[in-house]
Amino acid sequence: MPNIKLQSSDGEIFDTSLDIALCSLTIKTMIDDCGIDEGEDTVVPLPNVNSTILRKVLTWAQYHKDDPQPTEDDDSKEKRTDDISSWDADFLKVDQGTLFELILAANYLDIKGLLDVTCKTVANMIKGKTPEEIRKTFNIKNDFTPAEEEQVRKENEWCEEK
Amino acid sequence: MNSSERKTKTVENICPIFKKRNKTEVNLNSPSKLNKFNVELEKENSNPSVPEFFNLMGLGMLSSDESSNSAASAFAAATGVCFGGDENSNEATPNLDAPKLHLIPKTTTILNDSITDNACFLDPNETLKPTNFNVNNNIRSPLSAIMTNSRPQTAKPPTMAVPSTSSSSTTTSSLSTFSSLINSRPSTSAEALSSVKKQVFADSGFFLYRQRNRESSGPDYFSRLSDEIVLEIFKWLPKKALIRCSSVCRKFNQLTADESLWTRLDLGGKHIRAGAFSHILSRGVIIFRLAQCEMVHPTFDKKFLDSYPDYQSKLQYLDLSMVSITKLSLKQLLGRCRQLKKLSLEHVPINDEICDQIAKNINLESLNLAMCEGLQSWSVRHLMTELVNLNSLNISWTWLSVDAINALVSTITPNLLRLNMAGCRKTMFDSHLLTLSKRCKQLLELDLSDCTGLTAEAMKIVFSFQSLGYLSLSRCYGISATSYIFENQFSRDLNKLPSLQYLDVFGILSDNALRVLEHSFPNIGINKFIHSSVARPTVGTRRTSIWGLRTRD
Repeated sequence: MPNIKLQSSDGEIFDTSLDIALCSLTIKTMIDDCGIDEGEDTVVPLPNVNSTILRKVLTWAQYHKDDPQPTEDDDSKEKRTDDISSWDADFLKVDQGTLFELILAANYLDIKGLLDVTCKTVANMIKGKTPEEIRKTFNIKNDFTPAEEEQVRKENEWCEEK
Repeated sequence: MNSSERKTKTVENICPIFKKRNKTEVNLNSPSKLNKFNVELEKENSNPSVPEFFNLMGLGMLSSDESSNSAASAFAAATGVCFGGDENSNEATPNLDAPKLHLIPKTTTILNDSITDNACFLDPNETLKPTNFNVNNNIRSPLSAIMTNSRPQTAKPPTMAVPSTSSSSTTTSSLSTFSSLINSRPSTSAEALSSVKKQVFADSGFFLYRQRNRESSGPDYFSRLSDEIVLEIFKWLPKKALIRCSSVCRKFNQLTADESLWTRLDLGGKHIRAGAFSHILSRGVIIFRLAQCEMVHPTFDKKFLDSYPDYQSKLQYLDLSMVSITKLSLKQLLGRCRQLKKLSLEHVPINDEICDQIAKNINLESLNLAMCEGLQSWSVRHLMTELVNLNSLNISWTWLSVDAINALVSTITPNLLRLNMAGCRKTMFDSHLLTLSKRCKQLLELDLSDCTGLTAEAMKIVFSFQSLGYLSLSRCYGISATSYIFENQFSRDLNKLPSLQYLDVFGILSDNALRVLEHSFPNIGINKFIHSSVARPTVGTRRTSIWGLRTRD
């Protein structure tokens, strides 16, 4: 496999094996569209990803490069969030800022596997929490008026366990 | 780094360690004025000295702290220590309630007070300047060691990331005795632990600095995500979590209502409040399991019915088996359904009005009315005439009259593939079966169990269903056992039905006769199914999907 050069938003060049870079469908499309040939010294600019995050993304892609291509969302499959591999779990033991940056990068680079696992991680942080705890965890401001809050509460009171 | 910055950093580093320590007893036994307060965290509410303690510290707000559900967390909130944090959280800042912010203006004076207290406590004979912040650095080091030793699994790596040099290099001579005392004790012993705890809790200025940090709460990363990405996260949440998210903020409220998140919903066995359906159906649910629910009338609130008289739900697969619902509510609910493909109303009382609403779902493919009371011949005729796309019908044990059965067999769609008419006791006759056999030539499954009006003649008619794969004649006592075993006609006919794989004749044949039958027809499974699966949403014990479509997240 030839190498490819990726340039992060802060100008750092990452000389990466092509098969790793191709985990990103965005890069794949760029390469396909531009028709980059072997040996050509092309640099793919990634203006939405800084070097810290790009390094992490490439680490993830390196580890997962032999994974089977994720299938399109199979709606009949159960949505599990407890199936994160221990490698991924370790990989994602990062501060919230980095985790969200990874989500943005995975979305921009169109890496479904990384997007899923990062989103699952955030979903797991939400699960089991009360609204107030969710606000605290993610520093979200409660912008409801008291009347609105009461309205939302009412709308959500559907059912109770028997 | 100036000393006050370092202090703040130190506090930040230590605080998260205390998250898991809410079960421990903390005694503030010291020779200072603090020593009269014996704080036992678990019983804190009943201990009047605690509010006093905090009042003394300028923190008279504990009693009004509604959001703290335990005394421990109240204590934690006031001191700035976060208890009971979430294992999953990645938070960079501790969980502190917003109302605590009003404490901040007092911080500086409290700090000075408490440092003075500390000086007393540590050693009354020692001279310690109130402005000497290094006291915290000295405490931090042994504390970290002990906390790590006692609960290594709870100590998060970032909390321990303190440059070790800062503590040793700034140790003042006045404190060296104390410091070495702590260090020399075995770190795992309870004595050492409590000793350090005393230090930490007594030195409350230590924690109050967290209040200052609270002022600038961390960034809201969710606000930086596009709606699409937030939905990518929400799609992994179970409905309960989604509902909780909807009351977090406006953006969440709007996004959690996104139809893509509400395709499937399982409220099976739940007690559903009055008016709830107005809110549930408007989320665009398509596959909805409500089996065994108790639905409080009215299912729609009046405001909704008045405001949206023409509202149609997106429901396509609706399992209402064994629900407890009033007929009016059921009519109103089905009145909002026009796109149903599969519907189960097993064991639910119905009437003509309800059947009229069902009949308006002309795309209906599968209808389960097993054990429904109130099915009249008018309804049967109406349903059969309208529902031309029906391929599975379970109308067993509905106590159909002869007239209703006449209507059924003469108007039922020829597209029907599966039919369960079990339990038409003494009202279904051979003539009905003959009409049916001329109409529904493609039938794959036919259940005529307990149709005691059928006779041996019915056997011959049955064999005119050339595609039949499953046939049940269980407990059709009008057909004698000899019809199966001894009549050559039966054998010849059965051999003319190569498609037949299963034959259920429960309650008819003796064990010996059964063996003879099995021997004669080795390719046919005899008495394999006790219950019919025709049009039923759930079969067996599996309850996570209806008609093979997943309902859970």
